[in-house]
Amino acid sequence: MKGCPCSPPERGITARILHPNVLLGASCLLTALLLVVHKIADPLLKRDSIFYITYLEKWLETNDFCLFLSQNPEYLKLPPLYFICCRGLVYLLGSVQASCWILNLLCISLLPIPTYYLAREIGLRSGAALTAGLLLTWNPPVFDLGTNCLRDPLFLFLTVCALWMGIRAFVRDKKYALPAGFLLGALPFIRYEGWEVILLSFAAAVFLTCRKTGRREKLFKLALAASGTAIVPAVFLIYFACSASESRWLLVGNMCKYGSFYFNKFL
Amino acid sequence: MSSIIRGVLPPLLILGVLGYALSWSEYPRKRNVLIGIGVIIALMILWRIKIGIVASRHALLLNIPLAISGAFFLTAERLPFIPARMMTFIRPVCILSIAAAFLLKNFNIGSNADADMLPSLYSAIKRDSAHRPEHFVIDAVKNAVRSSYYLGEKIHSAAPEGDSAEEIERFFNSLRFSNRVIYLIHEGRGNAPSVGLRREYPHGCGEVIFSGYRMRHHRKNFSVSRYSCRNALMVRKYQPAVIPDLKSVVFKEDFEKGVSVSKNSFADRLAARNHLCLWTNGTAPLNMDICPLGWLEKSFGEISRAAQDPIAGNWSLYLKSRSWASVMSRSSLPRGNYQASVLIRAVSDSSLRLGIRYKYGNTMINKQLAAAVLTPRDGIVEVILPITEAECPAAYFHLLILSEFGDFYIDDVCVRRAAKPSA
Repeated sequence: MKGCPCSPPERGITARILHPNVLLGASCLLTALLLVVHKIADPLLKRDSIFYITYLEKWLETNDFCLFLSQNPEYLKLPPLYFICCRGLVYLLGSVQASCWILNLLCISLLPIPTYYLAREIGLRSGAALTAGLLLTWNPPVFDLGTNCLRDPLFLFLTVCALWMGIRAFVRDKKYALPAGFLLGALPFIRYEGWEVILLSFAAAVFLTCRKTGRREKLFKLALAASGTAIVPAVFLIYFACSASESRWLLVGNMCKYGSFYFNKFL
Repeated sequence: MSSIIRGVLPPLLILGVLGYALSWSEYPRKRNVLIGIGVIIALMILWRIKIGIVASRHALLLNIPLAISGAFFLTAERLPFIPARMMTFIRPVCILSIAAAFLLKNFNIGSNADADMLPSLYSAIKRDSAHRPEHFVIDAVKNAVRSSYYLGEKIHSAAPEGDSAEEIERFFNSLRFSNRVIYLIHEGRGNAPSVGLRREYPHGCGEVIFSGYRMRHHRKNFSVSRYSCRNALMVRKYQPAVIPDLKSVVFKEDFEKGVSVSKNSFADRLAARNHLCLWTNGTAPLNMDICPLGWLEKSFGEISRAAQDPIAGNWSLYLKSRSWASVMSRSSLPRGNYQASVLIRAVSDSSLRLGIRYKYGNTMINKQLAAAVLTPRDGIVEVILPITEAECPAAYFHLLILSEFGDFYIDDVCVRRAAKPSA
């Protein structure tokens, strides 16, 4: 029985402990722990953090997103998705500041996971992929974001996720195309630099599609990803357009205006 | 055309390389992937430098390919073109430098300017509030936003002066909610004062003192005036009721000699200046739409219209003896004749000169247009400056106000189009 050739080979305890998933989980936990320690050591917030907290506090006072934006047009400039996520956490945690910080903490401490899979997808061995995850997360500018209340960690996290899913979709598994597109579509609603990521990703995808092998299948994947990308802007546009606020068209117009602002800067 | 090439071509190049690298990954060949990623990084960095946005937030995404290629570099048994023996030496050096960077950055090993500054500042606050009870220094922060919940403990732990953290905290709290004039000492980058204060000091803020101001240039064409405008706009957008940011200051000798001041030397000299005060009464919010002190994104024409409305908030600019203020417009004005009127109230016997500063060709030109000698008994005096097209052929100008001696307030500044050259 012991040496049955059809049973999978037994793995030693060391191999089980050093399994990439275990190491990945451990690095996430360790990152979270370090971030908490870092936050306790230096709890000061960056300037923009306080601005974002003020945004959320004002929104909470009004309790109606469209009304809040109409009354505070200076906030129209900011893409709303980060604040919507934070607002969701406020229901759970109660505190605005804590919610913003926890969201940042989660994004940074979970960052090794998509980075690991992204690195694996482009051909790195698991050890190297894990190192890539840690290098990205523990690099000082990125790590520093985890103790503040900024939009960048969510943006970075979703970008890595989108890249991983996009590459996986085009290289292997088409079922990842739609979520990849969806994540890409969400990026500009966190930071307007997301338009750049969309442009780069889709152009790369078009380039891949143009290659001879499997063109029809790739075209299908591209269409799936594009439809996923269109979901988030469409939802926001419909939400604003259907709101009861008198200035709903102003909101829609502003969204388009600031969405195109980033490209205008280049040209 | 060049802007289109600059804007479109580099991204297309990047896309091509990215696509090609991804197409390689269909048949994983690590060396090719590595080279592809390296080229992408290089192109992205070049592109960023070219279009001049290498701010940290923009460069954030560069960390992704950097981390992946760095990991490959650290873990690969052998890299192309690098002998195996070299790898045994290079790898630990890389690991150590990454660890050092991480430790230094994230655990504040090394100097912490903010923490170092706070104790001495606290002493200054106490000393200053004792001498001038109507004014307070309330916050003193490198980036102007520090939650004062932690301020007491920071000061206390850094250099206890016999006051407990609670006492320091109480002291700051007593200042924060007073309706008196508030100081903000600003050390650091230009856009500092300060989004956060809106939250901390919702009633508005008063006096601003720039002390040891340091100007940084992120881009070679990022001029002082643009920087100032951006700060001002930022303050205006985020902090309409709090702090107008006064950055555009020229120096007395420059004005007198009429010499051109290059941007860099201007920034350097800005760093060397002592201080300049901007004063509000601290209770009424400063209405930036009406206050035409240059921190405006709208044209002067709109300011003129706004200035006809009653001024909602009392504001005034306090100029100390031998200091300068420069009122600037961001957008270009149509050429033509203008008339500036400045309302001045002397605090002591004072002599002041008023003029304009504009760029003509590559030279900054300063011209004196009016002078006034005032005493406190004169009350508010209106000084009119005719700014004709002949005097100022440039598309925009700054209004300069110099105190030769004596302190005074500037209560209002307004620039209007003049139908014909004023006398």
